[in-house]
Amino acid sequence: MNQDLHEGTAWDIAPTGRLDANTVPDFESTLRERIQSGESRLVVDMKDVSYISSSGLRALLTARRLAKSQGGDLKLCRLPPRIHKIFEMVGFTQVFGIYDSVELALNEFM
Amino acid sequence: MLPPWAWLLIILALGVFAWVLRWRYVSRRALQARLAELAALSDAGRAIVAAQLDFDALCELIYRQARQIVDTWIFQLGFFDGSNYHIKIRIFRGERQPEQTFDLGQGEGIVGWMRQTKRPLLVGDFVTEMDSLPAQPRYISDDPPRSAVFVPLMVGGQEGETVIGAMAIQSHRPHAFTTDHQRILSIIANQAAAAIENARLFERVQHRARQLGLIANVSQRVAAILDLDALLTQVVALVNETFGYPFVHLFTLEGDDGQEIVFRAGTGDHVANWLNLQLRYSLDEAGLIPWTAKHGQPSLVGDVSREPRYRHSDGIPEIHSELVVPLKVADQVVGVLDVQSDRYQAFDDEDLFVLQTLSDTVAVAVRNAGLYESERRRRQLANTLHKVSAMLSSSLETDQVLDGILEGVGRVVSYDAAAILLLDRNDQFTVRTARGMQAIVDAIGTTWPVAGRERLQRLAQVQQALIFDPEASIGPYHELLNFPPDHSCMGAPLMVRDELVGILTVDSLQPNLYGPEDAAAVEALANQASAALENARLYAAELEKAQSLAALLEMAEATDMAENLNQVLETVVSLTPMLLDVDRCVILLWDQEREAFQVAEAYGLQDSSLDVDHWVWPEDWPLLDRLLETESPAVDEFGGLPGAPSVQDVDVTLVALPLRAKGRLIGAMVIGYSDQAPITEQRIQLIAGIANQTALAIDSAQLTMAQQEEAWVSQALLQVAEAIGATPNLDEALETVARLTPMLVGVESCLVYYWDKELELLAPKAACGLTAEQAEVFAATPVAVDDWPELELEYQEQIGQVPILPPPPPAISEGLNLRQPFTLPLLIWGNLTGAFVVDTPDEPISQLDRRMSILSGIAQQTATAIQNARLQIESVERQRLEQELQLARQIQVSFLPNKIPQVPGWDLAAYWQAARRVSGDFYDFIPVNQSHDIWGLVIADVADKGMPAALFMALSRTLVRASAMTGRGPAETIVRANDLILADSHSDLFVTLFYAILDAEQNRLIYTNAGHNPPLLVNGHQKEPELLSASGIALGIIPDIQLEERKLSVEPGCLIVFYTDGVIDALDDQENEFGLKRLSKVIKTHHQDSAEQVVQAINRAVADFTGDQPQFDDFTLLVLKRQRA
Repeated sequence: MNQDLHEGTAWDIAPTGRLDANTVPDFESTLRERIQSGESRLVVDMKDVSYISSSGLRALLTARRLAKSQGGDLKLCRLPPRIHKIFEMVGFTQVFGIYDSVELALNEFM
Repeated sequence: MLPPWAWLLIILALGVFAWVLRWRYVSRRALQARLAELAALSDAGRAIVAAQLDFDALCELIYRQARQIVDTWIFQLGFFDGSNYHIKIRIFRGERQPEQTFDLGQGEGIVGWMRQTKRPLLVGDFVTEMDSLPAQPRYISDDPPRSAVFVPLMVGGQEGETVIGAMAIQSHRPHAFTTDHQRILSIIANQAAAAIENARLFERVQHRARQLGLIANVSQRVAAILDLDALLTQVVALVNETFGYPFVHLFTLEGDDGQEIVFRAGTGDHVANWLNLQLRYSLDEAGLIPWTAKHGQPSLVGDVSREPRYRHSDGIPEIHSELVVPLKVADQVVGVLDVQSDRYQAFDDEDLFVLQTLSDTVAVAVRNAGLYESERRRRQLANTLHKVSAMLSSSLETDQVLDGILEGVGRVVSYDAAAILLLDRNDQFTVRTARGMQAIVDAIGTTWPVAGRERLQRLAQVQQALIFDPEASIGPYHELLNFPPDHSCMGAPLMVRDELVGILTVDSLQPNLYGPEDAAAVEALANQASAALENARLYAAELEKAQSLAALLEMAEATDMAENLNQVLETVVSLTPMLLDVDRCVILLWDQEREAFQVAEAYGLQDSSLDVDHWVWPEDWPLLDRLLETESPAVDEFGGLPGAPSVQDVDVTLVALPLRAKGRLIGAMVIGYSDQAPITEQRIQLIAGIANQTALAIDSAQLTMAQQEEAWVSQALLQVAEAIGATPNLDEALETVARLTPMLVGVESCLVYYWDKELELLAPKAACGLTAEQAEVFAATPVAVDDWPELELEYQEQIGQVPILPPPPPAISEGLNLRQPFTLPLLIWGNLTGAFVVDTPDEPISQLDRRMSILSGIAQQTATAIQNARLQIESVERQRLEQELQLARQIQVSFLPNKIPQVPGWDLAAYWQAARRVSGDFYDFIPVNQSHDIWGLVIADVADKGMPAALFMALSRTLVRASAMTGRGPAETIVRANDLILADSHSDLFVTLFYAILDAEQNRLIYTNAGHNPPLLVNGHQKEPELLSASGIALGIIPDIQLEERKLSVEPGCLIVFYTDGVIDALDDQENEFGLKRLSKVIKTHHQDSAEQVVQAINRAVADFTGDQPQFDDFTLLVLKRQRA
């Protein structure tokens, strides 16, 4: 991949297990630190997420807003069917760009 | 001479000629008359046609035309209006008279006869013809006319000719009128009648246009004006201007139960007075206005004297007709519009129609303004509370916070004076903060004894704000205000730890101003004020603690400067009164051999038995006897001194403290004070601390005298104290202690453990004198308190003395390969805060004896530092958290429905349980149209929990409610609510929400889903529950959302379960989720049960499933069931 093009892009964020009230604070601060350190274009790989609570959804929303305010965006990829269903129910599929692979998501940033 | 026949012929010819002449003359006259007649008629016709379509002008024209034809000395032109006859033009003896209306029965009088028969009447002479007239004149006057001509004004129509009015011309001369007159007047009358009818029709159209214009105008203003009073004033002014009705009044329904109508706006001179009086009627009172408000039906009365329901309103001149229409929104009466007129039959069905239409528009405005007002208030309150809570957690002074709270009160309720009065222990009020009129602001700081105890007790008992009867004053405060006896006042208790500490009082000059909503708002703010006072108290306690430490340090420093025992004693005795603010201080030294105390130094006592060097035997001074017996501080509240009979000074309290060093009693310190200040725990601790320091100092001085080289003991202590005092960071302080101790005491290594209360273990914190290897083991070895049993002992009796304990457990002793370690518990007022482990490779413990005081002192200082840091963190954090949660929960609970609506044919149940003290979930029942049993059902889940979520929940709930009340469909309602939420919220919070409108009469459910879990529906005959899905998106994320709306016909026995994800996401101990399948199963099993039973069954199933696992998400259920017929 072209390093220049991907400067300021983070594609190695891949939370695992449950994203609930217990794990969200860490996840949220990770996202915030990455964005504040200049990586305003983020791809979050959701492959290993087994559960996401409403606070997890809110954390993604907050990070996306923060990323956008820095001129970037937050995109999601590889949502397990279960997680995808939750996104659909809450209508987040209308809000987030969701892709089948990290590459496809990254292409959107190029 | 002519023959006779010639004469005859001549005579005949002359006769013929004369006849011809006469005939010609007559016919010429007739022709002339006919011409004049035609000219008059043509003039009249032209004039009438040329006249504008104006009723008044036409009447005048007819009068003028008639005048040209006959003598109009006595003339009248009148029109029929129902059973009324309205005389438009009345001339009597050539003088114009005012218009007149009177009731005219069918066929009554000549005019009545004419109306019936449609025929004119010519009366040559009333005197001779009276008996032969077809109708009798209605009025007989003193000076009756002799002759008259009556002509009807007739118009043709589909139902034949109608008489719309009559013209009557009379004269005092007999035979003043001819049939010609009658004929011409009839023709003019008929021409005029047609024109008048046209004019009337035109006027009606104009009137109608004006009416429609008015409605449009009012509708526009309704949309633009949110201030209800301004709007109502405009509406009545418009109605008055547009229709010319003299008296227009608007009332709105008020009171808790809507059983009163209150005058809001009107036209007429009496209005100012009505407003002043706050004119109101109970709905059960007599009168058209209350009747209309009560029944929701309009009242149209043409003649009030015949209407039993009519009551005259004070201040209005005599009136004859009245029209009252209800202001209704969805069958609910919100007010009435009342129009009164001094004319009979002033209003017709058309007026009724127009005013009713207008009322509908105004009603919506009244209702919206009411809603807007109450929602605005709620939001204002939420905002104000939020601001105040932010203020509480900032570092403002208490007075500033309290003042801010009063300012906040002003934002939610209006007042002329508001104050926070604090109650002290002597039952006195002090005005702590005040706002409003100058008199009360000037009174800040003044104090007076409590009057009106009863009122205070009630406040303390109910613990909520009350609206008071202003007559039952609370004493000087209200005297100070000098308000009239009918002013409004409320009070809310300020409670700190269930104790009444003061009140927040709010007063207004305006009578009957406050309602329950105001009281609730004031209460919420009073709770904030209580929290602020509690904060201030905690702060003062912290400050006192800090001062205590400073005092101890000062004492330590001062005694350290002393070079010998005498100097130590002098220092202690002179410093103690200053540090403790006491009047007396005596130090006695214990002589073990003589079993007696010797006075070493005394201050503030003029009693010879306590002179320096005097001996005091314990049996002579019960205070010291008790001290010896219990080995703990003793108190004598009556200041008894040694000697028999004992000298007493009841104003003085004496406290005796044991002075102990190295586990033995070395003396006693007695202090006495006479001030009123209570002995706080803090103060006792400070006294104990000073006694401790004194004991140490004495011991140290004694040691110094014996062994000069140990003078550095206190120096060392001081160094430690300073080192600890120099940093606010506990870890840093502990490291300094660990580093200093080996140097000061001469041990090889020092290990500091911190007592972690929650984990119940001693955590390694700092160490010095260890090898790298040892340090690694040390850092990795926390010790459970169970493994270190010596530390678990009770130390309450050990104040001032640090015991030396056996070696630490093997994990430390052997793990670190220590040689001769021993343990010192770090105690503060008997509580464990940590432990020291000291290792001495060279000397046995006994030989360390002389340095024990240093170690002990260091241990004390360290324990104090730990305790201090811990308290600091705990108290600030706990306080903040507690307040936030309390506030959030308060807001939240107030936003949940307080009862389940009773809907005939339906069964509803709900359950709400927060995971923490506050929740992001909520549900709501919205009465969309109560009279038709149309209900909005809401279940929602705000992302995240805690204060922001609770506020967001309050916001969402309010906006959904406001939007639902407008009567939109579910999708439109929620789309609108989303726009409102987005406009109002600036956080990343969002809410998923399911909204359904239940039409209980039609058994129909229309629903929409904004990203929420789809509810489950089960019918008796269905195998599996069905999901009520509809596509949508959560609210608060993006604008202009699309929501699907679905319709559902609900069969009897059908059960619908709304839930939040806390139900299906509940976990068991294997982290399995409860899931939709299990929920479906429970619902299927229980589908025959009542809604409440279904709620319980789900609760039970979830509880059985989760077992001991804590609830991690909020949990809300709403169950709807259609009953079987």
